[in-house]
This record gives sequence, structure tokens and C-alpha cells, in this order.
Amino acid sequence: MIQEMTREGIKLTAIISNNWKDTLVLTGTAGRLVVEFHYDRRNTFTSIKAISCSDEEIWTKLKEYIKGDPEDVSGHENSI
Amino acid sequence: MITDNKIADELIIFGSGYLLSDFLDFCNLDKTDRKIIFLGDPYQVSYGRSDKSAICWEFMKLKFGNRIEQAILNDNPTFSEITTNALVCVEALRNERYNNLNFHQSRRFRKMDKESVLAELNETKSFSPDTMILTYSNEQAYDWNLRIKEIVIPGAQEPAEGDIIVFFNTARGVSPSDKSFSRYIQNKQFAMIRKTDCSKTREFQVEFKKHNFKIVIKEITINLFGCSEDLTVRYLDSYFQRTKGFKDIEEMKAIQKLKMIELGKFRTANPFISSPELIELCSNDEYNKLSVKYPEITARSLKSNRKIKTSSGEEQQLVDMVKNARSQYLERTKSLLENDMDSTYSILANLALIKYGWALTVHKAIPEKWPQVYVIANRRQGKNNRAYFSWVYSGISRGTDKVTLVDFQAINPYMNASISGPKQGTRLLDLFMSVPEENLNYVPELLLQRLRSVFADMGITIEHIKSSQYQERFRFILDDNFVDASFNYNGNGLISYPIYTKFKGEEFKQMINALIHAPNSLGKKSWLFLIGERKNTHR
Repeated sequence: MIQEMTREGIKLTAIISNNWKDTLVLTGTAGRLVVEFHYDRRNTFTSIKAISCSDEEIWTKLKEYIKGDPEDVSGHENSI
Repeated sequence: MITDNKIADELIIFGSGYLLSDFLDFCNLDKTDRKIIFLGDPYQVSYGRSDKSAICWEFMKLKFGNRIEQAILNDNPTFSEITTNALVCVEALRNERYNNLNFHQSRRFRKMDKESVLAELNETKSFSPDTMILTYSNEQAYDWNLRIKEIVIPGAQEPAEGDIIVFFNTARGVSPSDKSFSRYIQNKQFAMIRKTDCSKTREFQVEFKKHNFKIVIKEITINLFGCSEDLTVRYLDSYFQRTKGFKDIEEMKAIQKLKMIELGKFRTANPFISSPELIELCSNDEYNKLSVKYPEITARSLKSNRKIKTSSGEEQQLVDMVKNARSQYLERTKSLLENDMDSTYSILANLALIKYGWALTVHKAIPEKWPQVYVIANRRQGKNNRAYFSWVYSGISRGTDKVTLVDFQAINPYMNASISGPKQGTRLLDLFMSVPEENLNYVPELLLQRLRSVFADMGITIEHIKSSQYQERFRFILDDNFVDASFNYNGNGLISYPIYTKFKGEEFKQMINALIHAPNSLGKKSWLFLIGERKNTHR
């Protein structure tokens, strides 16, 4: 998913991995998005929380990828 | 699939209750050169516990050590489109990754919703025996059977001619034309109803454990699939109407009681005293000699089957002779009743447990295959687990020609995730510092440096006035005005927008606030950029 987004000019600039939680910073041309991915022992995500967002476009795009057609989602690792 | 689970139900216990152990005892491998080959698929659903199955390598290794060998057959994904999709589940089961499952649609493998399936079935107005609907629960199978019944014969409730049924026990059917011909019907055999006869419905009342059971037995004539002759069977109506798959054990025990009552009645009418077995015994010289010698023992042993204390070998011989004759009598009376197909005992002993045979649960369908299957995949329980994956795999591998997944929801890692956007008001500062947890004491220093870089050119002095756990307080001073701002941060180094605790000069406060919220607007370097540099030096 992140690889897909990179093609659209959004970069992954930082990751912090904690227990069952990864915090990602995605940087676009107009701002940044700090987002937390919480997951469980079955490698499925329980919640995705945007912590801070200075560019709504990145958040909208990320949501599109997450909610988008499940047919297209394939081969995710637990830590992106 | 043979497992070593203990089966303790008194109605179905067989041998010691451990099927695998009994089977191996029976084979007696110690004294022969014979080999047993167990074939099975460990990824499919199993009846018993899969860790006690004959194809569980660890379990068998523990039980038999080096005497066993294991061979794994290769996957053949090119065999058919169905196999290709089935192997997607197998791959997930092998890797124990249950967060992703989807299938490619093709001519032989479709995904549909319930309504379109019903519409498709409605169009044909009939239901081919080559088609099977597979569900997760017995309740679902019951519902689907009723739906198909509605399609085949609209408005009808009772079983009728042309309905397909399936047997769930071993029952006995009699030929309608020749009463002497009977045939055993196996568990899970399918049949089509030829004739129903309401006039032959029987009702019995029996009290068991203070409950009154009303047992209704109905009669139908069927044609077993793969057999030419018709058979008449009697089935238990309450099991047919039951939504649950398992039988009502109490009711089964009540039927058992009723059977024993019938047998008792028959034996009272035909007592042992006047039986041919005893007459035959009386013609035995040895018996006559002993019975004259020990009249009391003879009378007691003829009276009942109870154990009698004997004091000599001759007495014991006499008791054994009577006992032998009595057991022959018991055996004969029982088989006589069993074979008299019109007797109540025989009806109860050969009672069939049937249900409509259009829909089955995957667990019950396991050894069978059909050219076309519909797998109802809208299971309510969790889907990110082994049980669901092996269930789907078992379901789709039942089909040989065409598989339709009904109400299937693709599984992806985000399926159950709740998504929440940034909250207004409690927003964290758009500033990110990747500070390792043990180095969080860098935060005040970093913050001060950052704030100074923003405000230095404007003549604003910044003082660090207080440091407490995950909170730093700074004072911004310009001439007479000042603002105290308290910054909170968390273990990840994410800093929130400040709360202003004290200030002098409302305008000054607003200016500071605007600068913190939008440092870029003043042409300064991005905060993140600076922190990124600092972050690299930390790493």
C-alpha cells in the first residue's frame, strides 16, 4: 500500500514500532500525516488513528487505500 | 478420518470408545508384515480433534515411534480453477497467516450474494441431485432446505414426492412389495421420496425421567440413489423437524425405553417356561438327571436370570445349562421381533433419522463431492482464524465442476479496523521526533532549540521554566508581555500543541499561538526538516 502511495508523491519518512502498534509519518508535498496502526496477534489491524494531519489529502488517500476495493488488497505484512 | 478421541456417549459408544486404538488392535500389526496407509488432508475440517488424528504426524510419532513413515503429496494448482483457489487457503493454513483471503472469479468459481443465488435457483424451479448447498451451521442448513423446498414445491410443508432426503443413521428399509426383503441404509446416503402415506403415521407416549415424550413416526417410500428398488422406511418426525443437527439424547433414551417395554411385553406373552429352547433342554438326559437331583436349584434358575450360588460342580453345570438355554431364548425372541417388520419393536429399532438433502453442513459433507456446490460463507463468528480457513477450504474442495461462494466477504488486514481521523482541539503538534524511549530526556532540549529557531529573529526570549513527566513548560517574553505554554508529549516523542497557563497581553498570546501552529507561514524552515536532521544524528 505504501509502495502504491509512494508513486503518488507521498513518502514514508519515519516509523516507530511499539508493542502491537506502528506509528508512521507520511510526508506529501503540502504537509504531513502522523498515523498510528494498531494490530493484533493475528496480524490484522484493529484500529487506524490519525494523530496529526497538516495535509488532508494524504489522509484521504490513505483511507481510500484502506477502505478501497478489498479485491485489490494483497499481501500485507503486519509491519508496513 | 480416524481419530483417537474418546466417544463416551452411551448410545453411540463402540468398542472401547477410542476408534483409532480399537482399529489398530483389530489389525494386530505386531504379528504380521502388514502395513496400514492412512490417507487424509490435514487442512480440512475434522470430526474429532485434529491433534489426535491418524494423519497427525506428531501424535502418531508419539504413539508408535519409528514404526511410522510420513509422505506428503505435492500440490497440483493447475489441476483445476477450483484447486487453484482451494490452495490459496492451504497456503494460508501452512503459514498460519489468517489475515488475507480472496479468490479469483472464473467460469468455474463464482462469488454471488444470497438474493442472486435464490433468483438463479428460482429460475430452474427444480434442484438437481448433482447440486449441493453447503453451510456452516445446522440451523443455516435447515433454513436453506426450507428455501429449496419452497422453490421445488411452493407452499408445501410436509415431505412430498420428489423431495431429496439424506439419512443420518444406519436404518433399515423394507421393500413395499415384498415384506421379506429388507436392506440397510447407511449414514449419509441420499434418496428421493417416492410416496408418502399419512395414514401409517404412528404415535407413542412414553415417560422418561419425569418427562412425557410423544414420539411420532412417519412412513415414506423412497428410492435410494444408486439403487433400483424402492424401500419403505419409518422416520422420527421430531428429528426431521429439528433445526439442530444432533439428536435429542433424552428422546433417544425414551425410545430405547419404549423398545425394552415392547420386548418385555413379547417375552411375557411367550415366556421362557414354554419356549422351544426349554423343551429341547428337557429332552437332554443329563439335564433331567440333574434337575431331579437338585429340584430347588432347577426351580430357582428357571424362575429368573439372577446369579445363583452353587456348592458343587454338578449344581453349577445345571445352572449353566439353563443359562445357556435362556440366552438362546432371549436372542431368538429379540431377532424374531426385529425381523417382524410390522412389530412396534422393529419399527423403533430400525427408525431412520432423516432431513431434507438439498443443504448440508460442510462438516457433514466432508467425504462427499458434488459437481456443483454453493458454499454459504456468511459465518457470523470470527474469520481470522484457522477454523474459518479450513472450513472454507473444505467447502470449496467439495465441488468438482463448479463452485459458488455465497455472501463471501474477502478477508484483508484492514477488515475490522476502526478508522479515526485527527481530532480537533486535542491535536498533537505537527512535529515529529523519533526519539528512542530511553532518550526521552532529549525532548526539552530539542523543543527549546526548535522554539528558539522560530522566535529568535523576533526579539522574543524563551525560558525553560519547568520540566515534569511528559510535560515541558516554557515562557515566551517580549517587553512587558509574557506567555507560559505547557507542551505535553508521549513516549513516541509526539508533542501536542501547548496549553497556555498564564499570560500577560492577549495579542501577544495570539501571535505566539499562530506562530506555533503555522511556523512555515513566516518563511522559517520546516520543523520536521530540522528534527529529521537531529533524528539522524540520534540513530
